[in-house]
Formats: sequence, C-alpha cells, structure tokens
Amino acid sequence: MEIGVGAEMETNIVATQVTLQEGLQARAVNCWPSVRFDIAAANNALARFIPAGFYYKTFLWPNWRVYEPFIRRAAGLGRPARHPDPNSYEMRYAHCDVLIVGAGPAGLAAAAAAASSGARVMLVEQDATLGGSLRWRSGEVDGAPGAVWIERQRTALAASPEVRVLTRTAAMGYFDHNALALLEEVDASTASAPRARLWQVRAKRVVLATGAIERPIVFAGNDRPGVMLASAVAQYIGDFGVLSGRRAVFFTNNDSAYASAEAYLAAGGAIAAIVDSRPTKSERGAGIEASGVRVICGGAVVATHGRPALSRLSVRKAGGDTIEIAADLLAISGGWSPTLHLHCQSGGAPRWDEGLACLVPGASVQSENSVGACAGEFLLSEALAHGAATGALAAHLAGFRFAPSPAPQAISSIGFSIEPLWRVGGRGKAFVDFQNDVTADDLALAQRENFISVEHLKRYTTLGMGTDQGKTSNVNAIGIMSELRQQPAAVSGVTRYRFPYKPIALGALAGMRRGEKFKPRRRLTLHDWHQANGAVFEEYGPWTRPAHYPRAGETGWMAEQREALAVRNKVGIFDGSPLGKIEVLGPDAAKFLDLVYANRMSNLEIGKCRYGLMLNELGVIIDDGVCSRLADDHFLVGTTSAGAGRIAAWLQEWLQCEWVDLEVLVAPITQCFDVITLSGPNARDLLSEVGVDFDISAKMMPHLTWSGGKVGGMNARVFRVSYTGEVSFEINVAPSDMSKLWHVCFEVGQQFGVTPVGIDAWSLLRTERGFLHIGADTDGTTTPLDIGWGRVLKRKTDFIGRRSLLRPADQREDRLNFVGLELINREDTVRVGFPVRSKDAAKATDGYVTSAGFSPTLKRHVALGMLERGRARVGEVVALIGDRGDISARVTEPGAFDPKGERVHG
Amino acid sequence: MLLINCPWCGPRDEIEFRCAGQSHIARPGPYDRVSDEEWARYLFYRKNPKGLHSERWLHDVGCRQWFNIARDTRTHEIKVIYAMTDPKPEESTP
Repeated sequence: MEIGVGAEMETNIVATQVTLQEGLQARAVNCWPSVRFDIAAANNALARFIPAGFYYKTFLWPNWRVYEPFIRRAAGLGRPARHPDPNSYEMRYAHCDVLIVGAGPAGLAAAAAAASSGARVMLVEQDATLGGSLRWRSGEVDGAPGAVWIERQRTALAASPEVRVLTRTAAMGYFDHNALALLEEVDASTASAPRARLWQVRAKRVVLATGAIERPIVFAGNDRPGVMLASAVAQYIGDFGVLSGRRAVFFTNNDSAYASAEAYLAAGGAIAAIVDSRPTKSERGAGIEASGVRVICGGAVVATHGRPALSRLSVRKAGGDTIEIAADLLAISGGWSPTLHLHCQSGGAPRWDEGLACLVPGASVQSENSVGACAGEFLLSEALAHGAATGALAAHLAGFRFAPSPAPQAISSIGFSIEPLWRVGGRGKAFVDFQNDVTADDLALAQRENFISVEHLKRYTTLGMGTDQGKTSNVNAIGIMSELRQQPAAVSGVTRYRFPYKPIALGALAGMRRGEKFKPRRRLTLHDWHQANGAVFEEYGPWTRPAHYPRAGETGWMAEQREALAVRNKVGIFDGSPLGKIEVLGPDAAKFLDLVYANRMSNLEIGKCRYGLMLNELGVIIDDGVCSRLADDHFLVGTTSAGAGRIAAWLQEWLQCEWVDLEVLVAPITQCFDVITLSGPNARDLLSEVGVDFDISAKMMPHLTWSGGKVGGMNARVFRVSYTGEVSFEINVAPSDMSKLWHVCFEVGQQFGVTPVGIDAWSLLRTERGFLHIGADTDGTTTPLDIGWGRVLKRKTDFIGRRSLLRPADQREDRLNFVGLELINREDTVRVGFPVRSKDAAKATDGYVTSAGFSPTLKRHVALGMLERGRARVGEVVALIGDRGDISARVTEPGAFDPKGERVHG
Repeated sequence: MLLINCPWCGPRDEIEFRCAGQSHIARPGPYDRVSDEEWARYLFYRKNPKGLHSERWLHDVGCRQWFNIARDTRTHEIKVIYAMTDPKPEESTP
C-alpha cells in the first residue's frame, strides 16, 4: 500500500509492518481502479489468455513503451512522491567485536554469551521490541515464560557497558570485510530527530540470527482474503491480542502449524479442521485430536470460496473424496525458509536440506556464523544452545577470553518433521508469488518454454522481483520447478539475494549529502565583492565564479561583449585565483619536468616562463599551462583550473610509482595564492600606479618572464603570461592580501578604464586569439601532432606519451587538426558543435567547430575547430552545417585576431 | 567495502583509497627501441586473474601515498600490503 500524502508519500509498503498513528493516510496500490473492482480480478476471468510472458509477447507493436504505463498501473507498482523528501537522514559509523543480527531467542542467547566476555557487542533487531518469535509463541526458557526471559535478557544487556542494542533496525546489506549496512528507523516522537539513520558497521565477527519466514502452500484460491500464514495467526494473537477469524481451518505439511493452532484455540477460536497433507498422523496431530479437534491426514485444500472473503473451502481427503467445510479463516503452513539474505550477501552459497525441505546456510566465506532458525534450527532448545555457544565463540575469535556460559534451557519445543507439498493440483489460480501474481501455471509455462534456470525463470515470470524479493515464494518456486523437471531440489539452484534486504528510502542512502551539502561549493576569496558588483555566477568544476558582470539593462551577452572590448582597448581585471599552481622542487626537478612536459623545461632560464603541454602515456594532451623557473632546482607548474588537483596527484603518482629515484618534491599550492590578472593595453600603467618595487617595463620584464617583489606594498609574484593576447600581469598574492590588493587595483584602475571581466569574456578573448582550451578544443584523442606541435618529436629525450606519438595511427595524415575557421559571409552565425561537411559523400563530416563566439573587435563570428587534414587545408573554403543551411568558412591558422601575436609584447 | 591497512595510517575504509589496477608493469624503454607491440602490451594488456592479484593503491583521502596490495580476487582477502619498490610476492601454494 501507499502511505502519506505529497512529499511524505511512500509507496509499496507492507501493510502489516506499518505502525498505526493518528491521522495516518493509506491507500491500496495492488488493485486498480479500486479494491472492489480490481482490474486484475477481471483478468482472473481471462486468466487462461494471460500467461507468463504475455505482456512481452503481446505488446510488441509499435513498442512496449506505449503500453507500459497502463500495465504498470494495473500491476500495482506504486507511484513515487513528486516532491523532494522533506525528512532528514543521518549516517553513522560504528565498529564492534561481535555484531548480532536478530534478537530472537538465538540472537539473545548469542548476545548474552558474547557480552559476558567483555567484547563490544551490537545487537540489532528490525522489530520495535526484542524476543522475536518467543514473544508470541508459547514456551518457557530457564523455567520462566518467554516474555519474562526476554525482559531479563533486555535488562541484562542494557546494563552491560559494552553492549549497544538497536531496535527498529534492519541489517540491509553485508559487504566485503565484514562491513554491514543497518537502517535504523528513528522514533518519530522527537521533532528534531532524523527519520532514519544509516549505520555502517565494521564487525570483527558477525552472528546471523535472522530467523525464518513461513511459506504458504500453493493451491487454487490461496490468495482469497481470509487465507493467511499459520504463524501470522499466532503472532496476531501474541503481539496484538487479535483473533484473525472465528472458525478456522489449518492446512499444513509440518508440525509447526500445530503450535499456531493451539495458540488459536487457547485464544478462543474454533477450529473446524486441521488438514495435514502428511498421510501418517503425527504425535502433535494425535495430541490435538484428543482435545476434540478434527484432523484430516493425507488431505489437501483444493479450492476456496466466498466473496469478498473466505466463507467455505473444499478439502480433498486421502481417499479422493472432496468435502466442503465452512470457515472464515484458513491458516496455512508450507514449512519454513531460513532468512539467508545476509549469508548470501556475505558470499555464502546456500545448500538444499532435504530433511528440512529448505535452503540452509552453506560454508561461511567471511567471519560470520548463522544460528537459530536461519540456520535451519527450528527447535527452540536447539536455537538457544547454538546461539549461546556461537556468541561465546565469536567473542573468543574476536580476541576475548573464551567464556562458555550454560545455554538457556527450553522446556517446550515445537516439532517440525516436514513432508514437502510443493503444489496441490486443481483448477484455478494457485499463487506462488503473491506480490507479483505469479502462479504455479506460470512456472509450468516457463518450464515448457525452456526458461528453466532459476535466473531465467525469475526474469521471465517476474517471480521474486517485488519489493519482498521472493521472501515467501523462492523456495516454493524451486520445489515446483524441481517437480516439473523431475530432479532433486538441490540441483535447481537459487537466485542471489542482493542488497538491500528490504526497501530503503533513497534519502537514507544519501544521508546529509543532499542539496548544498551534496558537494562542497568552492567560493573565491572575493566572492562577496563579485556579488556586490553584479556578477552572475556559474559553476566551473568545483568553483563558483563570475561568468559576467551585467550592468543595468544589459543581457549576459552584452556584458560579455563590453568586458571583452575593455580588455582589447583599455584594461580588464580578472579573478584567476583557481588557476592551478604546483611547486616542483629538488635536485632532479628539471629532469622530472622534462619527462612530464612534451616540450623541454630544463633549459628554461631562471626568471623565465614557458607554455607547456602535458600528455598521458597514450600521447593525448591532458593539460596545459605555463611553467616558470623560480631557481635552479625550483619550478612553478601552472595548470588549468580544472586540472589543479588532478595534475598534482598525477605528478605524485609518477614520482612514487615509476621514477622513485628522482629527488623531487611536489607541493600543490593553488590555494596558497590568489591571482589578480590585469590584461589590456593599459595594464602596465595601472600596475605602475599601484606601485611595484621592481622594473615592469617591456624591456626589463618582457612577455614570458616573472618577478617577485612588492605590489602595492604586498608580497607578490608577478607573471607576464597572457590568455587574452593582450599585455597581461598575473599577480599572485596571499589570500589574506587579496581583498586589499584587488581594491587598490580597482580604485587606481578607474583612471585607466578598468573593467571587471568574467569567464565568458575571458573565453571569448582566447577564442579570438586562437589559443587552445583543453577539453573544449581537445578531447580524449587529441595529441600534440594534431595541434601543430610536431616539433616535440625533435627532442632528444623521452617524455610521457612520446612513444605513443610514433605509432602509425598517431602519424596518419587524415587525423583531425586544430584550425581556425573564418566565415566568408560576415553576417553568418556559428556555434560550437557545427559539423564540417565532407566532400566525400560516403562520410558524414570532416570535423566540427570546437569554440565560437562573436568578436566585438572584428565585428563578426570567429571559430576554432578540429578538421580532418586541417593544417594541409589552410586557405580552403569548407561548408559548416548550420541550423539554417550551410555556412562557408575559410580554413586558417588558429587565431582570427592578432594572428602574429604582436600585441602581447607591447 | 574493503578494510585496507594503509602502511602509514592504519586500517581505513576502501572509500578513502583509489585502485589503479595491476602493479609491477615495467615501462619499456628507451622509447626509440620499443616495438609497437611491446608498447601496446605496456599500455593496454592487463591480467584479470582469478586468485592472487597485485595492484597499485593510493590512499587518496589520507596520506596520498602509493603502495601495493596483493589481493585474492575471489574472496577480496588482502594477503600482503607492500611498498612500491618491493618485489611481487610469490603465490604460496595452499
């Protein structure tokens, strides 16, 4: 069913597991349009026309998607809430020596034994209270009624300082190296409490005491309201004091149902008959018969009748006669299936137990043991004894003294002695998977169509694919398939159980990592200044940076154009702080940089800067930037803003893993310096006015040099490098000085027409100038040879990626080359992604536009692109495939503005 | 979620680490004496054993040091953790 409304809505919830609260809103989902007129009930009449795989076979035209929404609606798949989850969730980590999953009798016995050794114990229970089946089953432990013994255990555990007990906490997954995920549903009574808490626990030993789930019996009409599991009848009585019917029939193939029948009798219910499929009357059968209950041995329920709920059922007796019995409750027990999910997830392979007719845990792969019903120990005395012994052993294996304590003694035990009854023959729908409406006939059809592997069977019929993941249906399906194939159940196999054990809110997995907390947002030191000056921010990698600074009445594009013009004509001020900065220091620093750059750095003079390319071992360009020599053994490697972290880690990897003998220290210092870039014809005048204590004249400090000293009285490193093609000074200062120096530059700059410049204009300026932008103009295939850097192969020494550039594929002449594209018609518009039409009709394109924009200086669109054989085609006119027809463009060297690069030397 | 005993920081969750795959791959050289095939083997050919596998790991959100792990790919059992410069451990016959 579905509970809650609006954002709080949750779907596919099991009705019996919801705690009732005042004002709870619930709707059924497994029937459409309504419970009284379920379209699936109409399907019942058509059942023989809608077999397994029907939908796959029928709704092929025009395609499945046309029909899927209607089918899913009728299939009762819930609707997700359409609003963000308003709840909060937490995540916690824990370590313990022994983690015990399940606080039934076996789990409690294990916890007591483990705790007595002094080990750190965690006991987790998915129910709100401890005790498991002992809460509602008759039975005495250590001479006390179950409930009293449970309370004693609870009190003792609560008093143990090293024990943590979590209720309403389900173990959802079992991962490598004994890591488990637990979901704790937090008591909603505290308003500030999160709705749920996801625990990640690392345990030295794990004891699985997850119990077993009763199986239904597969017979015609087993889905009629009024039919329920025998243990559920007993649990309703024990846990809630609810009698599920007035006049019941019990139908079983094992002894456990007799205990449920006795509880039902004791609570005042009347039993019309117990139908036991086993031909021989068991001791339990004889016992209850003596108290006046009719027991039909060798019989089977073959049909149920009544609308909307059960009123009568048909029983076929051993001799073949069929009798009718009036009843409003049919309690069934087809045996018990150990809850093996966690054992499976830990890597264990369950094995078939012929005597118990179910899967039981196989050999342990991780440090875990199963005890109690989940290990096939269905007798209370057995579960208690093994639980206590395993708890003591687990603590010992976790490094604590072995402290065997006497196991709790149980005087009353429920017998089992099952004889499998996988399917009762008869006409009508006999459900195997109640949630996904898979019947015994569907399994037979799948078998006829050769979907016999359990994994195929599951996907063809959808058996076990609901939110219950086959908890009640898997073993019956294995049994039925084995009968159909006339082979032992042991060879039929079992589908894997996967995380999570039960449905889990996505919000619980996300925890606090949502919204603003999903990923740390990196802001510039001057974020507030940019904001106050009208910046429009955008995300660039992890950074939030100004895209442009629109004035009143300006669009973003207009601002970009104005800012770009200011750089060309006067001076722009740009916050380049995220630019990657890595110091490389040591006697082998120059040798190392010769290996990591495609071009040589060891011959760079102190005080000079050089643009360089870094390649990966495939010869592909991964980053670019300016390298500056600070001293003989000391370099500053500049990277792109996006590459700052990645390149520093990459340099470390080469030093630690390959060139371990090189004496080099790599220090990422990106955050140690903020960067003010002044760019434009007035940049030098502005900087002089701010005040520098070193010579910044074009003669003394030409392009591609650097100097250190005071700028505006503050310590700074100033680099003459340019991204825009204009005279530029990149001023590196400590973040603590950033605000002051920026303000000084901005104030003093007013007389020189200084304009704040955002990323948009910055990118446009470099596109005009034809500079490469890694990741925009290049992709994961672009090599230096493709961008006209063939000279790197003239070097005498090795560098990362060099050998790859010699491969035939890298030397091919028809590779994509980096070129400029000059539009023939000045009115044409070009955008990134426009393909270049190929003259070869068999080929789609010859390349594409990688950077483009309207140049306010040239008054036309400018573009860069990757073009097949591009460099050999300079001068050729090509056709770009535009939105409204082809656009003619002439292939040029990159760089529409100042192609000779003269302005930067001004 | 593996529990990895970083040689510098002690046992930490796998989430703090990065695995860079097979270790002990010698970089062939000098570059002008390496055949295309030898270079291709260095770049692309990797083992995918069922059993003991030597891998390079980085304690990325920690000490940022690289080291080797010999891991059983069937069980994820970590057999040995050793330095980048140490030789590959021999697989002991059980």
